[in-house]
Amino acid sequence: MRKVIIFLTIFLNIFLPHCSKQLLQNEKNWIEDIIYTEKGEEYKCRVTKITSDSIYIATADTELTFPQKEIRSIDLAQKREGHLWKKTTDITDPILLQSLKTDLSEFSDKKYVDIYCKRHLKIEKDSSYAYSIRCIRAICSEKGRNAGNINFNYLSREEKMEINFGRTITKEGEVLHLRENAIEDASIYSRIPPYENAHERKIALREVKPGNFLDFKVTIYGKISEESPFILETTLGNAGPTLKSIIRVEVPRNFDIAWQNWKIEEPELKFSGRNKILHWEIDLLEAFEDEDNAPPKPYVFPGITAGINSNWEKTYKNFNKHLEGEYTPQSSEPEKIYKEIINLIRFVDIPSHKAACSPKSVEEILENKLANSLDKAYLLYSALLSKEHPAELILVRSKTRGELAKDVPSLYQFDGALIRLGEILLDPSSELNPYGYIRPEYQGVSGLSVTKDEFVQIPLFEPGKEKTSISRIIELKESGEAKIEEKMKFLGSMAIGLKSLRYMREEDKKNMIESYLNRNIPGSNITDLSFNHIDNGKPEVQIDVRYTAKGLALKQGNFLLFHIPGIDYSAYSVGATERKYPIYWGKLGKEENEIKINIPEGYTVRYLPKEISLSNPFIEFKNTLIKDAKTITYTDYYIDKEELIPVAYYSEYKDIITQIAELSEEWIILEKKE
Amino acid sequence: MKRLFLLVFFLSQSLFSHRIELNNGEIINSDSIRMKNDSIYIKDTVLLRTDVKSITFGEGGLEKGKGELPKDIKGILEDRVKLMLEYADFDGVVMLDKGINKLFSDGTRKYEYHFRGLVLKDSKRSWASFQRQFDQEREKMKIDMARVIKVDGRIIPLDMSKVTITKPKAEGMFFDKDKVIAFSIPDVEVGDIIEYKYTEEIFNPWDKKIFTLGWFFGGSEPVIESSVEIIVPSNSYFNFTIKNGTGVSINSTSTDSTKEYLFKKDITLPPVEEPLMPVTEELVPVLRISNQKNWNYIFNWYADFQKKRMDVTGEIQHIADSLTKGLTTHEEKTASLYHWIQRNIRYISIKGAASSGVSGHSASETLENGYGDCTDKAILFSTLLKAVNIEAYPVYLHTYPGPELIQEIPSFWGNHAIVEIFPKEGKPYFLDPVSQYFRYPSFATMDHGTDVICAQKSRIDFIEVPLPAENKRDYTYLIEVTAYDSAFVTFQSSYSGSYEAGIRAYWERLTEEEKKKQFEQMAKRVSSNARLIDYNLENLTDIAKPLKMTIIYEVPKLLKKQGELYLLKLPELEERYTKNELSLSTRNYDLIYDTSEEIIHTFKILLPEEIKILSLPEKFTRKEKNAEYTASYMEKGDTLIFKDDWIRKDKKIEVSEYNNYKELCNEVLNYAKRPVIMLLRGGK
Repeated sequence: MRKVIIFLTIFLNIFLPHCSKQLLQNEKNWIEDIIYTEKGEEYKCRVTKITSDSIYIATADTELTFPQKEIRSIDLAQKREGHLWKKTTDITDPILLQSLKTDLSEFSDKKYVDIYCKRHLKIEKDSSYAYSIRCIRAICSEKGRNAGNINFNYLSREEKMEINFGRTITKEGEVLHLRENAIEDASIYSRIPPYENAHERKIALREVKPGNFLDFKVTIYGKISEESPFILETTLGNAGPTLKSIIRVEVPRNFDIAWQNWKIEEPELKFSGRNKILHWEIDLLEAFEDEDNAPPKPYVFPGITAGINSNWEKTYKNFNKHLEGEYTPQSSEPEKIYKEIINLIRFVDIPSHKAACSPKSVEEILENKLANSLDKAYLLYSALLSKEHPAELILVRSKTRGELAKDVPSLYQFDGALIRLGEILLDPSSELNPYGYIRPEYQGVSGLSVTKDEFVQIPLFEPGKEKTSISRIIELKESGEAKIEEKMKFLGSMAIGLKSLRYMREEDKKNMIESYLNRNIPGSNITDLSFNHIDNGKPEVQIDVRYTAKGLALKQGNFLLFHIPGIDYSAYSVGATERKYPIYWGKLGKEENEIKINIPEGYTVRYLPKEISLSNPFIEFKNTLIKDAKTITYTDYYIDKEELIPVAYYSEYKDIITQIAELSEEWIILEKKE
Repeated sequence: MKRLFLLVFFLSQSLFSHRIELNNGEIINSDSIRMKNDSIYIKDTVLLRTDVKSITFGEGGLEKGKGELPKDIKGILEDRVKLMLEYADFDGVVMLDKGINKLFSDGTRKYEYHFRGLVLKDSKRSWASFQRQFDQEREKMKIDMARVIKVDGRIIPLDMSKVTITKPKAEGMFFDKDKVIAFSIPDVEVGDIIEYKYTEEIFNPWDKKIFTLGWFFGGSEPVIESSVEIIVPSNSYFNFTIKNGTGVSINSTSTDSTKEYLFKKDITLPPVEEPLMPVTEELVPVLRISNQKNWNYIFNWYADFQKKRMDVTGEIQHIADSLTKGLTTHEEKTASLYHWIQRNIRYISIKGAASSGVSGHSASETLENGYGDCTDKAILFSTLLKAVNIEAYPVYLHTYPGPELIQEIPSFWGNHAIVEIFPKEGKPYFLDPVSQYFRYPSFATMDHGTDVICAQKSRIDFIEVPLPAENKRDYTYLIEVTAYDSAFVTFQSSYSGSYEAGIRAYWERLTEEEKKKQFEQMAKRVSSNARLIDYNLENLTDIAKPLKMTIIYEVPKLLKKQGELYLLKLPELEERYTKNELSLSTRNYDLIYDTSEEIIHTFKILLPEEIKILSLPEKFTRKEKNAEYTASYMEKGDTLIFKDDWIRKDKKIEVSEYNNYKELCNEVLNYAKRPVIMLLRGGK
């Protein structure tokens, strides 16, 4: 026995690489199991039998037996739909065959084209569902090479996913099937076990190069329930154009379907056997173009939300069953309760629709001391109620996911939660959030008050609540060097970001601010620095800094030349002559500057930049420049009045931005009088 | 609930049971497994072959500890009070960072780790979320204990049933077999102490004869006590070195069967962040050990894997021949194959066993898949070169930023593979086929200035930083000023080295419409009023040829009329010489760039007759140890010519040179900002 084993071991090491080669050369479509040896090698073959001590394998032209202790593990290849196809001539699927005939000449500049893309949700009588996605994609150019790296998300606790097939059809007519080791299932939030549910299955298809076609299909299986209120929620469109996009929602005839769609015609209602089908179809959907400050995809591409018809009352009642926990905070005052909760519980930014639609129990949240938006809001809600504050829990959906489909009741539509207390809205996510602050992703969205069973419009913060104010006093010397005293005040998201400086030590904070100053005024060296309100719950942050800047002004002959110090408005964002999509800022905002420049003795102002005052429904800007014998005083303010600039107003917006940007290019010229 | 059941079931299994992973992600463990006719029999269950994704024989996994608690809580709490005062500016303090590594005579090994950290700010509550990657086919993890010690002295242990093993998400192009063990220690607040211990049994190391490891005595927080104990069989060879090792104590003892070494360091403060500083691993004390006297065994181990994979098959020979047909010189052939592999094998990394980990897949398999990672592409490229009689081998390196090789400590060092070429005449040189955009003979900057291990030649070589001329950007501007202030600008740029690859990568991904918008925006960056007229990217997709960019645009107000004066600031010069990495007035650490650089500008400005130049910036020349700059304006009739040349010779600026270098760069920037001052003829 020992001799045999030794022989086989040697055989394994010497023969297998050749077996593998023969396999690769002769049988490209052989279903390839992979065996991994104890010595660290890996080979492709077909495992035919496993006994308690041996592994039997077959190659293209022989069969072999190995002691099990030589083998560490085996990946078993799967027979997937069409796995026997080796050449185009073997293909029997008419859709694929037809797709392969597509004339792609007009798409040579695109990354890829989705020739056929079908999403099919089928719900059975017992509420189980199968949601499949099939796509036939042609690679059009070198830039489409990554289009063969594909991933799909699902919820591992409620759903299962199957890769039905994945293959490449080369321009030479070969069919190359997806390999098992190029499939991976991974947990998206593996680091946070209490919220571990969302998974990603990814695949890498072979020979992804111009002229080749990819064909892949996956199916997700699950069952609709109170805890798993599945809906189809999809935004069409991709980095390549889609020639035909089909969406079908199929349910038993006696089921009601609810749906809502955007930028797409209403579906056709069809009947097939005992089922009824909603059918959407779009011919030629353009590719998503890479454009700076483009809005999230749902703002510009067709979207569909569909599912079994329910009603919001039932939805919120189901949800409210989970709201029976109690938490008694230390204080009775709402603001103190808020502070207690945001500091007590560490925030993890995991959307509820990717973890669980219902909150965890109060006990579990308190035990974990970490929670996502929904759970943290629920704990605050419980705390406020325990002190008899009339708090409402409001489920919200972030802007990037598009509009709430009010006709399709499902908790899956939400990803976070806020609290309403009278007139005040609270976002108890990050411990840095001041009382009354709402993150921009939830500003201006629709929410559902599960307390009052009504939709709620979350306001968009006015520009003054997202404000940066700079006050700068500059003592300019004849050498061009300057001493600067600056006060920077921030409100809103900038202030929140700066509050995270509280985690840094003093030296790191100084280096960070010095880097920031140098971006505005190169050659800046800090001499004094202080921070206000980064450690407390106040909405603002103030940074006071004194610094010197070498070469703020350029001395050239009798002239001292410089641009308005620290003013750097750019027309880059409006560089394009035309835009395809609106400009998206995601929030409103205001910026104010006041700069006082004390000019060196003996110099007079030869030239000052112009004053301008501009306003339209989207933007407002005004500056002033006042000079006297010793001082130049510059002030300006800039307001973003809308979070979205429609394409139709782009030209007007561009003109204003261009005029503002010109100001940064203007010189201040001082001249020495002899 | 089902999932919980499975997990508990899994945890309760004995070590070295077989693990069956189903296609739906479920895991089943079984002491016995048989397969016949596409049916798989485990315990009392029969599975279909089609349901099973993988089978692992005698696998590791997770074992939960009893969670026994040390009795020294009082001392820990006393330490906390002192540390909270002393390190209040930090967000956390590592109180204990202790490892024990044991090498057994059969080559298996065990690693025990003990961590204790004091949370001083909210950001360090993240320490409560533990995560460690491991390979179940080679390692068994045991969580010995995990707990939080509250400010009031209460101790809350981790509920071991909440430990999870999952596959962590990685970027789209990475596929491997690693899993992650994770848990969240409950109830952690600022002021608490987090503590955990785990044991890792490596029952199937990559190679049982090679034992190497590294230990860092510091990191991104203050570390109060860091120690590592190494226990090896008494007959084992053992060598070590300590880098940046001030204050590391060493104690060694021996028994009949073992040699034991204890390395310990008290109080290591983290470096203060600076732009482009060396990696932390290069700044804190680090221990490296190896049981290898020299590199021979590791060279052979690598080389054996590599040689098996570098078989020149008929298909490889055919491709190599067809790509080099008609080419005669070494450079032509190498360049052709280099460009082909970059463009035709896309980056996908699939790691299975040790062999694919270090040496990738066979050349023929990578060719057939049309994808591969650095090791796969290095193997295939070397094999293609071999097919045309050019000697070349895959070599290993650690890309920058990363730890430097310590040659006296042979180890599994490196995170990347490229190719070293040995021409019949001349010095060996390097090419990195992992990218898609590098024109021969340039290659990625992350490889510049690092050691490489060439296993098949049993040698360690060094990749020199290329000369500045090999990383050059050459910009020319022809500016025709009309009607006093408007101008037509024809901008052209060409490149050598890595910058060209970056430009190609950026522009190639865009469609024509997207390119046009980007060029329009670039023109706007020059001036808010600029209007794009035309653009061209010559040889964008043909990486064998030099890339040339041309942009033609109109700037209505290039000459700024400021009162009676006209000011002309040369476009883009200031932006190109603005160096944000020089933001600090002083530095503690070297400044490290990717590579060397040279920038050349030539401006030819045709001025209208009515304009006269009032003031020109004077000529500039300054030379420092690492960098130099020359620039000058010249007036020739109605034409103003500006030329400059910026050179940075190396990638590293040492701390001692920082002030001179910064001063030079600031002078260059101020020079670049200077306008030419002009007047209308007859004006004052």
